[in-house]
Amino acid sequence: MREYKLVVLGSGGVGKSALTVQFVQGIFVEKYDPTIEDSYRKQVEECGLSCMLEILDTAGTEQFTAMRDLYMKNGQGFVLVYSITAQSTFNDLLDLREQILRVKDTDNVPMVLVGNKCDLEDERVVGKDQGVNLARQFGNCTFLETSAKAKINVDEIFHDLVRQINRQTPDPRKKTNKKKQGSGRSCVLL
Amino acid sequence: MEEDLDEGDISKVRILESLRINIGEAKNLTSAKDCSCTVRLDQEEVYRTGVKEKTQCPFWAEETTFDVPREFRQLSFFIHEKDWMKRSDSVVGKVALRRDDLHRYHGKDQWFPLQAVDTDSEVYGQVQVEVRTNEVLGGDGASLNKLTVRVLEGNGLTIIHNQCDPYATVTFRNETKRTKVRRKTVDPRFDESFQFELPKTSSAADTKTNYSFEDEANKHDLKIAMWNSASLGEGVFIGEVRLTLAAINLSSGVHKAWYFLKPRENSKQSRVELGSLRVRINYQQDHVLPSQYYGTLRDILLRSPEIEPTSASAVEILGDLVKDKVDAARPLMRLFYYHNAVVPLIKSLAHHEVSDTSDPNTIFRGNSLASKCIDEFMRMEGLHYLYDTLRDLLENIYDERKPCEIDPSKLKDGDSLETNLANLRQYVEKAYQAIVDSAMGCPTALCECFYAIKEAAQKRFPEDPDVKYSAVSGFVFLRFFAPAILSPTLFHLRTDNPDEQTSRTLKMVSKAIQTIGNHVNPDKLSNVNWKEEYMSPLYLHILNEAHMDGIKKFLEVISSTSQAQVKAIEAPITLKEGVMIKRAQGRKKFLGFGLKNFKRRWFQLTNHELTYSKTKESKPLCVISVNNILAVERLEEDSFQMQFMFQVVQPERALYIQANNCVEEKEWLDILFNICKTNKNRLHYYHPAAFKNGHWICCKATAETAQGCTQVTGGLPLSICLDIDPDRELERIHCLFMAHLQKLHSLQDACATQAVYQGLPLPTQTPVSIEDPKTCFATVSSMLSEILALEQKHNQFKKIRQRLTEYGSKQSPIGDHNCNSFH
Repeated sequence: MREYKLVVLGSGGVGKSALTVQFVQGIFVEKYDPTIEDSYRKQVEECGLSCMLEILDTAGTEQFTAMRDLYMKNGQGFVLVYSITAQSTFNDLLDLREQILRVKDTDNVPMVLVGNKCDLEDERVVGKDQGVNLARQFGNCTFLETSAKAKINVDEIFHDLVRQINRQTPDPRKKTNKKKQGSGRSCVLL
Repeated sequence: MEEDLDEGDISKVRILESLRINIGEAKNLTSAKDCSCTVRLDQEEVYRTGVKEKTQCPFWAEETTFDVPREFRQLSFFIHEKDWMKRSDSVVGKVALRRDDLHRYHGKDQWFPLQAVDTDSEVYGQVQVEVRTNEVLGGDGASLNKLTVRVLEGNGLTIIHNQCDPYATVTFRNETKRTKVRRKTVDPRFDESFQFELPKTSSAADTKTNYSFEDEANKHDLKIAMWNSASLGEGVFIGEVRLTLAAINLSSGVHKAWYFLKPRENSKQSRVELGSLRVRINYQQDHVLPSQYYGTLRDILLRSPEIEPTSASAVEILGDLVKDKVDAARPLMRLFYYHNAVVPLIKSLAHHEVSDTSDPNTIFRGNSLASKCIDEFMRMEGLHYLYDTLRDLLENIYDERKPCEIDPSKLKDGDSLETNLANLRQYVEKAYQAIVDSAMGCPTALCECFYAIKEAAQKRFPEDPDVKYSAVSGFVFLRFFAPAILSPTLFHLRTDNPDEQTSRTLKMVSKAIQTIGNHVNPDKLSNVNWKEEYMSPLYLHILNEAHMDGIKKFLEVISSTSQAQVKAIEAPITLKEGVMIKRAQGRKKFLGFGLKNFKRRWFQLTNHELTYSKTKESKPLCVISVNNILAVERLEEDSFQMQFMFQVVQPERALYIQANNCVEEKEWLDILFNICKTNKNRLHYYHPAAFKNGHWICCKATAETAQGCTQVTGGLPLSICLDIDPDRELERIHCLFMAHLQKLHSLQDACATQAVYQGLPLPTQTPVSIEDPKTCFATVSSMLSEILALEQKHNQFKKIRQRLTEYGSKQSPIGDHNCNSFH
């Protein structure tokens, strides 16, 4: 079974864990408990094939950002989450994406932009158009407004990400069992 | 701010630099060996990462931060691989960046291609030469033109194999002459002159003035090369300067200048792919003016806590302008700390922040100025407390290395889940106990700060009984204890990076401690669903009512202002420790067997004493009470021909210590100096060089007890805020405002518009929300005028400095090409 390493990133309190747990266990976590680093495994079907997803739910607290480098190096697909009720969480994502691209040293990284808490329409401060525009800025990556509480668009995030990874790197087992090497490209500067 | 800067003030303008370097990873190295990465200021190593085993893509993610202690031209990174056959490291490649280019890379991760390193291209330092032509009478009475080349001195030459015994050669028209060897110095003084005959020119008329170098001399460039003398065979090349006589201005007959040494003439950079390195560099250079220029800016900032509404205060406006809040929080907290005004500021920031929060769950969770300031303050005020609380626990975890993995999917063969759970539980219990027991040791100022947080949270959400706990826990657990357990090196609790298993243990203890700190209500526990299933057995054990009560009590104690500080920290607090080299203290001096006098020792400085021992674990060989440290000063290099030496002066003798590099030397000196400054018996005079062979090298006095000949550094004993330089912080803040000048201007316009047309929608989007246009306008206007005035001073200073700097002087030598150019 092919394994997919997915990483959920975003500022504190945007609902990264709620989304992840909703997807993996099908429940909404009521009690708020800030995450340091949690990992989950879940088997899903995608295009008729079973896939093993290894999802890393990360800390939104900046005191733990030292570990981000490692997540970015190891992750194959990224979920970038903000809360539609807090502008600053939306603004933080630009830097986060840039860092992923720099660490990966490529412009093409499977990614989904997620505006969470869309059930709280009354408290909305980040418009849907803002999300759409940011996704366009992110090289036309997938954009979803979600609600972990109301279970809106949660599964779609992860399935889309798996499809993106499949598109970018087709299953190696379908070809010869060639060992993958590092990209071999060295960086181009300025 | 009336008076203008004059040239006298220039010497009072300080240029302070600091570097924060994050060494990420390397990739595509040519072979998979054990590798590490070093950071160098010019040729001096100031940081070394851990070793990553057998990999072509080592991943370090290590960070180092330091103030730059001296001038440097380039910052470089060397990748070393362990060669077990040779017992030593070999260099795989390097990335060298000119200091003047560092701002281009500021703050962003970047991949750099590695360059090859060989002795002919590794060149540092500079040399001062004088060239003159003169006419002399030859033996036959005809006049001859001679070229006199005087090699005056060298500076900062390359050290090869820990040795530098330099000499210089001067080559002109295939004729080479050499100086004597100077022993053990990177700054040799030669002052030797050599004469060469200049070729006769066709126009033999007035040779002195009309001498034309054009045809002949261009082919015969003058070359001054530096060599490191070897006991056998030829010296090792350390750099050269090639001059074209035609390019030198000899109109005055003499040309004298400093030159940067360059790589050997025929050395060529190989274009082989060696792989690349990812680093992130934060480089800050501040030109700090004399104190009097910052008075107004300081007053505007310090007034912030009194301004209503808080959003119209200078501090809050700065926070809104700056994207990365920590950039503002750091200098602000240090400034307010210095002026003993932290708590009122935090109080106003906290109240402002919670007024914007709608869900008690997300209280203080954002990336705000308030949370960054509190975080910064915890690190400043609470570091000793943290150290005291967690030190034993961390030592246990590091030393015992018990397996603690309880995730069945990650379990190693042969490990038992039950044993691991028991191990983990034991560490978590220990951590819990250490934290709960530390309540009374929490510094008063931190308690006051937590009190302000609690107050703000309770006032905002009076109906929520738990918010007073979760607000404080969100700082002391989530942002302090938990991250410190997870990465002890980032909090300077450990100097060594943990291995993989220890990392995993630390991560799980950190997670458990965070969860304990966040659960105080047993009623809510019954229907809790633990996010990660494998952690539930642990939580079943540790999340009991007794522990919850303990946490509650702990949070209450540290967030109360009236707490009687019964248990002041009695145990000594370790301030700094590490390995250095020390000279024998006079008891058994074997004069003549120089090296035997110097030994590596483990040094430890606490607030009570300075000690050293053979190893970290062994008993101290020598204990110097802090009261007996009468002075701490640098030691002149000449004393023992050793760099980075400093002295700790005691009543009877002086202890001479050599630090490992300039950064460590500065750190030790600073901290010892600060300790000693509060000492009543502090000396006023000291000897800048050692007492050796029966006399003081500096003043030649022969009595070892002779009073010092030089005044000690720094003047009066100081306040408690020892290592804060308020002018520097104000300069930082000034720079932040300058970087957002445009936004500040538009904010001013927006305030003005809103104040006049009240209630009307704003024509343009403002950078920050305006609550009270009038107050905000007043603050912004006063800041703007002050910032611009300060900038004017800076420009004046820049102009004067440019006028005073002479190309070819020691400060600004000629020629500079030894680094990567990535543009």
